[in-house]
Amino acid sequence: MIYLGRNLLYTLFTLSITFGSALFFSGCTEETNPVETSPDLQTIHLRFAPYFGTEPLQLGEKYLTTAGDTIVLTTAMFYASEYALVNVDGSESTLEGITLVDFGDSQLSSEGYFEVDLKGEEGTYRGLKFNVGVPFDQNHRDVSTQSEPLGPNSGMYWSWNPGYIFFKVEGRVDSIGTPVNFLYHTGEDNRRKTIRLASLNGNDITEFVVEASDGHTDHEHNVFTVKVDYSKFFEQGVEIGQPMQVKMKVAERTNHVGPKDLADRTAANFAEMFSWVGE
Amino acid sequence: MNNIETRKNIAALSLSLIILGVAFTSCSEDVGVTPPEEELFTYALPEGFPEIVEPEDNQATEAKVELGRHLFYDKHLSRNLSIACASCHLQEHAFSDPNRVSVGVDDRIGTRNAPSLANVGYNRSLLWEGGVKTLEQQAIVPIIHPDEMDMQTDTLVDRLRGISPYLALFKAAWGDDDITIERITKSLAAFERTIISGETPFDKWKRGNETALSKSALRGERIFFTERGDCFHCHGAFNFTDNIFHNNGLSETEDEGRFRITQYNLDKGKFKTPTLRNIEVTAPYMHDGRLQSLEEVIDHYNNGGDGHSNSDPLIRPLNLTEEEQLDLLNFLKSLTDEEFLTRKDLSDPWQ
Ligand code: HEC
Ligand code: HEC
Repeated sequence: MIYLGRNLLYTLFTLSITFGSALFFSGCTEETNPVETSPDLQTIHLRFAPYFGTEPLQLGEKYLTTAGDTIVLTTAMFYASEYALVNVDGSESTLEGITLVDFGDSQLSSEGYFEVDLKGEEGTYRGLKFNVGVPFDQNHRDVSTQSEPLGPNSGMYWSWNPGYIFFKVEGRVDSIGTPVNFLYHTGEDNRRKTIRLASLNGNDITEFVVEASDGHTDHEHNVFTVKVDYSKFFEQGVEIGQPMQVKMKVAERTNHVGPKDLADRTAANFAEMFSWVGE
Repeated sequence: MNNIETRKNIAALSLSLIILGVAFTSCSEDVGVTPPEEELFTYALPEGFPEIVEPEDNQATEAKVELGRHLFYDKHLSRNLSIACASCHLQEHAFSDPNRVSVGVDDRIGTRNAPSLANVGYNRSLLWEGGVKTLEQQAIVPIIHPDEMDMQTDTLVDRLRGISPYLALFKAAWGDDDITIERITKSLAAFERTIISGETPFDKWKRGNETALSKSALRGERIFFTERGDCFHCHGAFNFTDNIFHNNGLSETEDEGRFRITQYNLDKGKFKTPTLRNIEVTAPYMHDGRLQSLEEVIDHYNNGGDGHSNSDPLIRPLNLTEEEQLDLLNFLKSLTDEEFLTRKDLSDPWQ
């Protein structure tokens, strides 16, 4: 628009193409998302509820891992993206949005869950799908063009290896003497995991309904809960058949891009943490 | 099922049409806008230098480069106003840092030596382990790094909005005075691509000036560019770098270099080959600044390195005589571009 100098018509034409595609492909879709204003989409309140086994998880509280380590979590965050509802015929309806789920106290509701509001069509569904991580394209776009929940201030960006940390699990082993800290920062495209959730009744899937809210945007309608169980994160260590041994093994305490075996393990473990509670 | 997508498509299309009629708003406005040819920046390329390749969405103009230069020399980019890019990339040191490792806000000590930015626009990857591909993406690294400028990008944008010279600079560079982090990093990158150096005695000799190099430097040139010294295998081509990663035999430290990105064991201790242009003024040397002088560097290679398990096969005892070592040193000293170290168009515009 600055350089509408020479061939005005041509420039306008090119711009219209540029903007059409920019809106469609870039982070702009998040801000100018036409879907959100569409009247026939329902608000779906998706609640991620953190647990450690059967107990609700609270950062700073003590929990016992499979290996027998008493641990305290201090950070528990992850990106959820590429949401989709699974239709009864098995096809999928994508829902817009990317979320940085943060189980830090200040981010949680008083009932201890992290709520994400999605938009989807009313109907009967058999499941929910999403990815833990950031979609490839957004993972590698110039960070200075991105905004919340992505962007340089998200606290999840690896500037030296452009891309996002998909999840962070940080904390310490609660023991006397020298503190033992752990820090798992896992990312990279090959560690993006797809989570498929459904409500199983024996071998049968129980369908659920996204209702028309008749204009109500209250929290009575279309509330679904997903349990996120951090005890599962520590059930399997790098060595098959052994739990994660945070206290005993230095090699199971810290990862970024590497060490590869631990980073791969944490990504696999993270994918095991989710289960469908439903309405 | 995909009627959401379709609807979005239609909405995007109609929006793009609407946008033609109304004012352009934030976000992607800068993407894909090509300045008219007469405003494009003309790079002063030394003879024999290839074209600078710019990203399509960030072609340089005089005004953008000028803005980038102001940003590069501005301490407002750091949290406590103490540090500019130029604090660690000093022109008189060919835009490298005489400190062994970098010193950021509150005197926080980094782990690496800031490399020279001479001809950085030609580098295929950036940083010592090469994880960053574009100067646009690199520019954010020091800004948000806690041990360097430790700045929040929103704070930076707000701060610059209050500094009046920037309103005119942004308007000239981008068409309006809106300040965004995207425009900041793009302008910095545009300036950095103009940091070009290629007027050394060695270049003059190559172009036919037979007296530009001393006899000793000429003998050194033969050591450098033949199997005698084997330096050219890695430090070859016009910019004295092959732009890939090698282990040149430095003893192991915690910094695993390229391995940090690839996690391949064979990449342990590999670093990007740095340019040797202006090497005389870029001490200390190597990714962690461990070698203080060129004499120490030559010793290192002459000894065949410190024996790292991943050491490149080319790194082996060279058995250079005292005289040959001096010749090699004199050759390295012929790679200094004196004019570049003081060139006005690259120096502090705030003075
Ligand atoms: C506190 C010191 C410091 C500051 C301030 C600083 N840098 Fe650097 N710079 C470094 C260090 C150290 C490296 C090498 C880091 C690495 O490889 O991990 C580096 C590397 C670079 C590189 C990569 C060069 C290459 O060939 O790989 C570029 C480009 C660069 N800096 C530009 C900038 C810009 C632009 C700014 C200002 C926005 C800036 N630097 C501010 C210390 C600094
Ligand atoms: C196998 C490839 C290879 C060969 C052969 C090689 N170098 Fe290097 N050189 C490198 C790499 C890689 C680095 C950076 C290493 C690091 O920082 O860890 C480097 C660093 C240097 C540096 C320091 C640059 C700086 O900015 O810190 C100098 C000087 C240098 N080499 C000179 C030479 C000379 C002279 C020879 C021949 C005797 C030579 N090199 C042979 C790969 C090589």
